[in-house]
Amino acid sequence: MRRATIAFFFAAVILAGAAISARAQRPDSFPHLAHAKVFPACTGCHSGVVSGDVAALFPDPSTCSGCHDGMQNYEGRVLRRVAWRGARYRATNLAFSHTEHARETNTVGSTQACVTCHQRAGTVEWMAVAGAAPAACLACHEHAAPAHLADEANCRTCHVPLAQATALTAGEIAAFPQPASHEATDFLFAHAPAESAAVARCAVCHTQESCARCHIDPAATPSIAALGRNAAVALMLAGKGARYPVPATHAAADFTITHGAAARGDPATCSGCHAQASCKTCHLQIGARATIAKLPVAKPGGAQGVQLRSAPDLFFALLSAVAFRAPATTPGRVRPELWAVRVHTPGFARKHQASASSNAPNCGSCHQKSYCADCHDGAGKLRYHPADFVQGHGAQAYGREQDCAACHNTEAFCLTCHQNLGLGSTGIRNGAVHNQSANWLIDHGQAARLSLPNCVSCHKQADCIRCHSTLGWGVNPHGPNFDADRMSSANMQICYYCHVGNPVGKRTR
Amino acid sequence: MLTALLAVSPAAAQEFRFGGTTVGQVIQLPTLILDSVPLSSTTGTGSYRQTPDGHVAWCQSGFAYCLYQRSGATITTAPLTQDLELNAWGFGQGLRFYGQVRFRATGGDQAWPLAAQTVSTTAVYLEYDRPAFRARLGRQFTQNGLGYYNYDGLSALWRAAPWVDIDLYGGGALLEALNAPYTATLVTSVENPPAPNDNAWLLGARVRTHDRSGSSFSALFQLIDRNDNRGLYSERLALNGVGRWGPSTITGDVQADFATGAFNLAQARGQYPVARQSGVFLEARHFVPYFELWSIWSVFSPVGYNELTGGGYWGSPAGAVAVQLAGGFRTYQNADAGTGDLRSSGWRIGADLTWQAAPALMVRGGYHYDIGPGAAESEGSLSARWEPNERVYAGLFGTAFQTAYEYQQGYGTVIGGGVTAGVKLEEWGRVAADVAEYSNTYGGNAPQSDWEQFRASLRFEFVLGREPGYTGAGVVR
Repeated sequence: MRRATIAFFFAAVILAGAAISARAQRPDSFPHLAHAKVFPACTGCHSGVVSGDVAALFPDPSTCSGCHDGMQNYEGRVLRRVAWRGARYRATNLAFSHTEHARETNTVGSTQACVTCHQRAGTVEWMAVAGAAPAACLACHEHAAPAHLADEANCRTCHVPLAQATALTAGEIAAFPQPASHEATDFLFAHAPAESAAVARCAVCHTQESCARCHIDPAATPSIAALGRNAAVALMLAGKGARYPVPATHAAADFTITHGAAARGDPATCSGCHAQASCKTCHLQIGARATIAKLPVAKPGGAQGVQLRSAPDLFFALLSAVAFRAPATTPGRVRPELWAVRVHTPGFARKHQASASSNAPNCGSCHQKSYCADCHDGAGKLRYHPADFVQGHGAQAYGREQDCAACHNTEAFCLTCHQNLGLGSTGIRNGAVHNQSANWLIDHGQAARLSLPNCVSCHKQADCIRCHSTLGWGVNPHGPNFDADRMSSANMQICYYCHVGNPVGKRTR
Repeated sequence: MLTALLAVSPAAAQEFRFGGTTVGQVIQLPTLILDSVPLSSTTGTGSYRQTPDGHVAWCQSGFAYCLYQRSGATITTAPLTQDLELNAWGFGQGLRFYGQVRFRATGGDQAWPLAAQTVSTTAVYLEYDRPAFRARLGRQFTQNGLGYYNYDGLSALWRAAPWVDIDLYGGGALLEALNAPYTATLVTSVENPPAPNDNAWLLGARVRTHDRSGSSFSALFQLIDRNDNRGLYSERLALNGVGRWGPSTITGDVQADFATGAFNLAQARGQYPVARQSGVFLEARHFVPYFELWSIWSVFSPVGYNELTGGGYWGSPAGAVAVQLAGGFRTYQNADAGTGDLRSSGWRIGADLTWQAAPALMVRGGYHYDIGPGAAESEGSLSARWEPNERVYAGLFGTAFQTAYEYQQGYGTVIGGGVTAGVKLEEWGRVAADVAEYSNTYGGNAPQSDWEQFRASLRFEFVLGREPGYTGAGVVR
């Protein structure tokens, strides 16, 4: 008797565990209670529980029509015909067999064993039944986790991998409950399973298709490959775009400069979200190719990884420091969210001398060498200046916030154009160009020292030599700190343009 | 050279990347002409009088006529440039050929700069690049702390350690920012005499070092000497560095001219980000114009300015709005010349706004004001750019600004705007165009007459072949 009691207890618990994935008992779709006086045992209708015949797990419709035939029965009652066409076997991902558990617990054919798990909560009547509750399983099967959906749970005790639960529909899979841990904001950054048991846990609710939604090359990741595949999951995820959260490291102000070291150290950290195309958005050159080559290549139809877009032209690069996110999805096709990043801080185009000269960051990993020439070659193909620059460039040239000569040859570029337009000096002292001061001739020296590059853009040296030479008016143009010895040592030739003979009186080369 | 390499190398390994950019423009420009009127027809007294139509005329005593300037005809020029660039590799491990050539043609009036330079070779060199060193032979350019210099010669870069490289280069020097020898007619035609009367050779040495934090330093010495060894054109030093301490960045640049003893540039800029899209910066700058010693300009002892600039930039957390503000004050060194009371200080302020009004719509605006010796400008601009995807964009832009010149008569006002659009042609090309119209008005006895400027440009880019070192196809951005 004691043995039977123990067996009964175990059977009851196991049967209850069969429904552990449900949060509550499923309602009874068949009015069992109304038939309480008719059926003395469960196995009369559910013989498959004993035999293992799935087809016999539920009664055939003819079983009902045997009584519900519309004719008077022995009590003189007319039992109306019923339209029941048989129970639909509800597909689950449970790893449970009534037959095996009954055999293992030595409760084969025990009606009481059925009642233990399927008795509707709060009732005692015979045939007041419902689906088994997960708590019933836990009453026997030790569950190390504090809750059904806890991370510590050994899901495989009761569930098969989703890849094997092929009878589940996409809708049923979508209705899976989500563990609370998955809702944490940082969950995606550390969700990779660390050991095989964790992989097994993931496999209960996820297949390769789940991961392929975001992972660019899921087959290359062993833990993902181990999950198997399920067409229903693919159907469920069709049209759902990838989601790539931005790690906290990416928010660092200098991340665009310093990310290279991290990428070289552990490319796998990047490859979860980034395909090679991500890197190549900026790294157009070969400087980072060894690291980039370790990242996956996005395949058509698969996840494309984080999509970066470069500034489309210098117009953007000059002014923009905005990072923005574009709308996420297009119905019917996978389209990851678009992100834009700015590598350089605002104004970098005008203040990049130190970085470019010392090569920090490595300019060559993103820019072709000819990129420099596009602007610095003068009249380059990139529009560094705005379209209206020709009208206002004179004033800006006086300000010298930028050194015009860094890109433009003064004689060939400025002076030539000014001469063509009548702005350049013709050598004729006309006095009409400059201000209306009668003393301009005397004042112009101050203006010349303050703004000599501007003078040079209209005046030839010969204009000045006419007065500032020993053959002209002999007006000394040198400033108080003029180092004649130093300059003549460097190039005595220029002295001879204005001086007859050696003005410093010493030997030079 | 390339043909020979192609002939001796297995064809299967050879690959190339060939690209080009065609830019055609139509631009209207004003002209100014020198004219004269009889002294008797002018009004006023003294050296400066007024012509019957209101121009200021300069009248020398003893002359029966006065000189003045007035607007001439508005001319139209149509410069066309065709850049071609070829990268070819696969002749052997580490070997690469690179060439970049620009062709120019000018329709209409020949007024655009460099119209006479119909062919300009920026670079044509053969490169041998291995992990420890890189050598280039041919026409090449160096973009360094002193500027942009072309030369015909050899460069050798030794990567002595992962954190340091040494670059030695030299050869026949070309004029800065001009792919032509010193004696090219491009210069001698406008500066003769005195003009560079001898070509030169260039020699440079640079050491660069960096660390993993992104800090770096570069020291460069560059010498340009006449071929006849009778004098230097240039002897300069450049120091450039970037230092990173946590999120802070400090950059510094120095340019020193040994020939004249001048520090042409000494600037330091500190930048501190207070958030990912926001930060502040402070910059101190000393600037003195630099001239090569083939000209006499250095002996005029040009002076420069010392400037302190500060500002900040802010981006909204969502990244939709970005604002930059900056302002600076500069004082000029004592010119020690003239008797006038010309302006000797200046200041400038500026604000730029970028607003991502919608995922496909970017709005930008800005205002800048700069006043200093010689000129002042007040300028505002506003533009909107619609970019529904990465293939097309279209936009509007407008501007209004006023300029005034201390050493010249009058002031000018410009108001204008235009439209721009572009389309990407698959992965191999892009076409972009813009059209603009500007209204120019003058006041304050300016010699020019009001005029309207039309300008338009059409730009076509293409790239054929793949990116070296990658597995994917080439990308046009």
